[in-house]
Amino acid sequence: MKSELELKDVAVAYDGTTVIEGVSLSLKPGVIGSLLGPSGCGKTSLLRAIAGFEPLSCGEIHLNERLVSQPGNSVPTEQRRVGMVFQDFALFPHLSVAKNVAFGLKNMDARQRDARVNELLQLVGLGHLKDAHPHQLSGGQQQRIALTRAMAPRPDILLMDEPFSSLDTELREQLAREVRELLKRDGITAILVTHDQLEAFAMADVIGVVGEGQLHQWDTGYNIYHKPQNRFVADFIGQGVMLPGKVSEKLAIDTELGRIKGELPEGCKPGCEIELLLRPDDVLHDDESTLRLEVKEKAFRGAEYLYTLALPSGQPILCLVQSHHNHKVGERIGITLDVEDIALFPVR
Amino acid sequence: MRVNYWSASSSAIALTLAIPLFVVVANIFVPAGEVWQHLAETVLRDYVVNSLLLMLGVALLSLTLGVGTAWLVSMTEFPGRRMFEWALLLPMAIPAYIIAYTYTGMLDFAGPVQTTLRELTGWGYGDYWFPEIRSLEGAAIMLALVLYPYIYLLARAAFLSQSLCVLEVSRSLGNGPWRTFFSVGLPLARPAIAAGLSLVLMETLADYGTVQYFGVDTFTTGIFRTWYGLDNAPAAAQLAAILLLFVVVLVTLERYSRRQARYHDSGRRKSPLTRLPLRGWGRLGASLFCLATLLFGFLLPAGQLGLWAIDTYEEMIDQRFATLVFNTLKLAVLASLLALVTALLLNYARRLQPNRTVRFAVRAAGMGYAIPGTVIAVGVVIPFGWFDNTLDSWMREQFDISSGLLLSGTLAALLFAYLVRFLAVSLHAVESGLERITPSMDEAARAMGERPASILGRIHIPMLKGSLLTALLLVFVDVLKELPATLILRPFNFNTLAVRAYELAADERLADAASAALAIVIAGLIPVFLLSRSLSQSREEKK
Amino acid sequence: MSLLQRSASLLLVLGITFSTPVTAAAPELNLYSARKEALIQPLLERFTEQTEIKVNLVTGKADALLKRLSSEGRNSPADILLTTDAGRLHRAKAAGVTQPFNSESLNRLVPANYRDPEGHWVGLSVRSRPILYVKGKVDPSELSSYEALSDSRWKGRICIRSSSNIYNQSLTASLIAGNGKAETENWAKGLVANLARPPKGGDRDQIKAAAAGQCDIAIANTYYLAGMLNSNKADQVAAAEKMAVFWPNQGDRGAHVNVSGAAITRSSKNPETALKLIEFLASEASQQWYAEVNGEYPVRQGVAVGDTLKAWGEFKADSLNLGQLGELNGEAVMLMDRAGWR
Repeated sequence: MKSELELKDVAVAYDGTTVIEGVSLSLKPGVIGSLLGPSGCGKTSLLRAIAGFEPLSCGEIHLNERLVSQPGNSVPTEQRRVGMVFQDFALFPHLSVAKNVAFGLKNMDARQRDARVNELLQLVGLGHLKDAHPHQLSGGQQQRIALTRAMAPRPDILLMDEPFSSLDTELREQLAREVRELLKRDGITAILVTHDQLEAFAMADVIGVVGEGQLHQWDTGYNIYHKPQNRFVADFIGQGVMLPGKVSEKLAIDTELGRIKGELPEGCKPGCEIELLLRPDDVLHDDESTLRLEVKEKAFRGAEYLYTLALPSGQPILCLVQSHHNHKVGERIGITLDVEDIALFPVR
Repeated sequence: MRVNYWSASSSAIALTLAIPLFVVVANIFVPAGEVWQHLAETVLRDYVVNSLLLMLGVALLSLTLGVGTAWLVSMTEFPGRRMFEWALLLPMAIPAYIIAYTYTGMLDFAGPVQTTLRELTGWGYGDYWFPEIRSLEGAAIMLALVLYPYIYLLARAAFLSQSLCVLEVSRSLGNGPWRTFFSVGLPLARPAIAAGLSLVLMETLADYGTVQYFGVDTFTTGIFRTWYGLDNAPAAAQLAAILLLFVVVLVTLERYSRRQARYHDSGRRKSPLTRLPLRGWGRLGASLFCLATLLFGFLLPAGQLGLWAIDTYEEMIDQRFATLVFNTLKLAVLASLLALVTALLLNYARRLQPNRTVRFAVRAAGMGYAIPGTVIAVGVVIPFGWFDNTLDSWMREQFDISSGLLLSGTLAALLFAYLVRFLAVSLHAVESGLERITPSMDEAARAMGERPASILGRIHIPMLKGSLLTALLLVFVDVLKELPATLILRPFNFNTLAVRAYELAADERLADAASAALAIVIAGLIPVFLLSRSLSQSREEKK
Repeated sequence: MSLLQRSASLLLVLGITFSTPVTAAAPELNLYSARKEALIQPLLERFTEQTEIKVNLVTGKADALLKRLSSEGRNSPADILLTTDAGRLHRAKAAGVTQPFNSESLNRLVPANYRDPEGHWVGLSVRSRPILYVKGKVDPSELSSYEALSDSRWKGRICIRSSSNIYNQSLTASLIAGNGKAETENWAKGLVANLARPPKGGDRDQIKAAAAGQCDIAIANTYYLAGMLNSNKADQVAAAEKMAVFWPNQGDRGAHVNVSGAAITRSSKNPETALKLIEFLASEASQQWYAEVNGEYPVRQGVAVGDTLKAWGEFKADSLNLGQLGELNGEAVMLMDRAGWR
């Protein structure tokens, strides 16, 4: 199957300073991708390079199997057939909602255009606001119009730059779900730039973790969480601790919590020191267990408590427990390990 | 590539407009003889000191008047506010030298005020102190009275577009209205105020009529003295080049002061502005402050002109007067449209491609505002004459045809000079508007398949309507008042109201000049009305 | 787009209509005049009536017009340059933009010192700059010459306008021609020390200030005083009536005068027609018009003048060739700079 979007060894630089480099990835039609990373990591630059707003200092970008960007040569944005949703929505204040949505609809007669606008507005449930102006809309409504406007010309790919960040949390989750449904319904290929991992998990089929000017991992949400390819991804995504261990002779790891088996990274020889990523959900509460650790801190999370427990050496580990198991700080509770995918990293 | 095409063509336009300035600056390399030593020993210090003092005085006074009234009418409620909102723009329509003549007529030792005072008291010369209107301070007051509207206009627009939230944040942190004004409102409006102030200061530097009449020796009078009196054009041009340096410093300072800040308006919903109702003394004070500004800036001088005009209009208004009015309006309309289109293209090219060449070219094209009109005109006459004569020689050699003067002595040359002189005004107005449109607007449109040129038409021009109108009308009023370049460059048998008013006033026939001067004021009122209407409308729409 | 497109096309159309240059095909004359429109146009209309030669006019400041003339070079449409002082005519000649002409009638009618020795320009009206004093405050017997005004007895009693003004520059130049540089510089310093107020305003302002009591003596061109006397403004007339004219230096070189005059440009395509206009301006009727309308003295003898001028009496004018004023102008300005005459 062809790729809708393909990046090969892409680098972007401003005034000679490279902000992101060495990025390669591809996106199949109908797939929603996400670029996830802390602010200032270069993810927005990457998105703008795909849109054609930034020139490349290295590499190639292909859209719909057409070479659109390479150093010194760039197809103008307006010829790329991309849709774009901005953080500030960028609705044209002088145009009504309907005219905003119709803005990119060219090569259509007035009737077709009206029909398309009406259809889309109905779809997002804002048909009644056709004649309103952007400043009369709420934040969520503005966001939906911005999305509708970007989708209207049926772009090959939809690019979204932090589209939910200016909305409140509750609205954000609801909209993220709605948007995903909408995109999936029409089979639209899309890329979402965000710093919010829950948003990325909720929206995207495939996630790229970007940090310090690099794309660290391009993978499914599950793999990014449970099989981070490096420490940056491990630290940035989710919670967890690094548990020190030593590779034993039988190619298993000896830790304070006992021997853990699993696939070892290449070049890992018996006797070498290593660290293991332990997620809170890898540690199960078990009253029967003989392994009992002292509760150092606890945080109520509604359905669960997140306990911070201390190993005899003082090394903390995290444990997620259903909230009817209410233990006091200082109490010792029993745990067992349930590590399915182990992520190991050489000692820093 | 398209973007390069934009930057190349805009650089070409901007550099063409900068030719007159280059002609002036080029004189730096012409030896001017021992004149410089003479100037340095005798008058140069006065020129520099007086110019700086004048700028300082005009800046302080016009800021007080412009920012003060703008804040009052846009943020507070007091009796007469709605009227002051537009009326405060009126002084803009009065040429500086005309207000200088009228105040002198009223306040001079021999004028009606002092004469009445002497008659009432029986004092004679030297028995009493009376402020001398024809002095450096007087010149600063005259200039500030007619120039403050530039600051008022831009500051008011900035205040109106401020989000109430930030002001409320300040109030909630325990700052009173005054502190809020100085710590939040003023800094937020700074780019607009700075833009207005730089226009005011450039006008001040370029002023000749007022300082000459008041006997204040500034750089500008020095330029003419050196040129006309000493017959030393190179030295005069070198003085003008120094003047240009003042402007470069001024413009650079203004840019530097806001180098990091970007002042985009996200177009997000803002809470409607609720004006602070003033009470008691504040209420009275606000009304009086605005009234005094209006009185001294417009009512008194315009009233005096009106009185004079009543005396003399029968003689002065003939069939030719209609032609004068028509000529003046024609020039003003053409020049303001031309300046608008040019400013839009240059600013847009800079937005598309903010590279060094474009930035430099645009900056150079905007310098002409501070240069006295006569100097600009000479900078136009020389290259146009050279072009015409070179072409003519070439045509004669090649085809034995004389092409004569194609550009010199035509309205095209005059319009070109206006463009050079006033482009800064429309550049500023358009720029401050464009800055408030976030770049994501452009990008959104491009992502939907629009080319840069059509984005300009579909997004920027409609969104900029207010700024474009401002640009158009400011240049319109400036051209109405323009004198020196018109004098030198106009075609045969072509006069304007300003030329007529000046010729009579310069002959010390103030009363006879009043009809033409008043006609300038009236013509200038039309755009001022339009401008203030559009300003308050744009606010209504936002609510 | 529509606003932009519409205005662009409007500009284009108008630009084309306006860029067609003025070309002189029929017998027409083109005039660059430093005389204001009101002070020349009526005479030009009379000329056109009599000769059916159309005259096109641009007015402006003399130096600017001169610059325009020299930049336009041999293609300049101008036939005649009119100025309000001889110095600028001299400057035009020195810049090489004029051509000599020879008119028997002008040579006969206009005194030689009001003409360029090489025939490049001719004076058309005489403007005198005597001493004006407040009647009753100054006894005319106290007055004698310009030179005597530097005497300390006039301390704080003299009003005169800025040295940036050409009339003062010419006056000083005439003193340099008469007495030399060093003496004139001392004179200027003395005069500045005697000023009642820093120089400001125009000539009428000096007269008004004197009439109002700010000073006892004003130095001003007589036609300003005439203009005030004949004004329909009561206050102007009242002020002017307080003043009397004193003709200085009658015992030696005579009172300082300047001329307004004309030169034919080197680029002129029809110098004969141009000369016709100049001769017309020197005709008795035109000379009378100058005197009547603007209170200037005729450049030729035997022209009847109005009552105002008559009342001031005959006077002896400085016989210096006025071209000299132009030559000495730069020096005069530098001298005044040094003397602190602002």
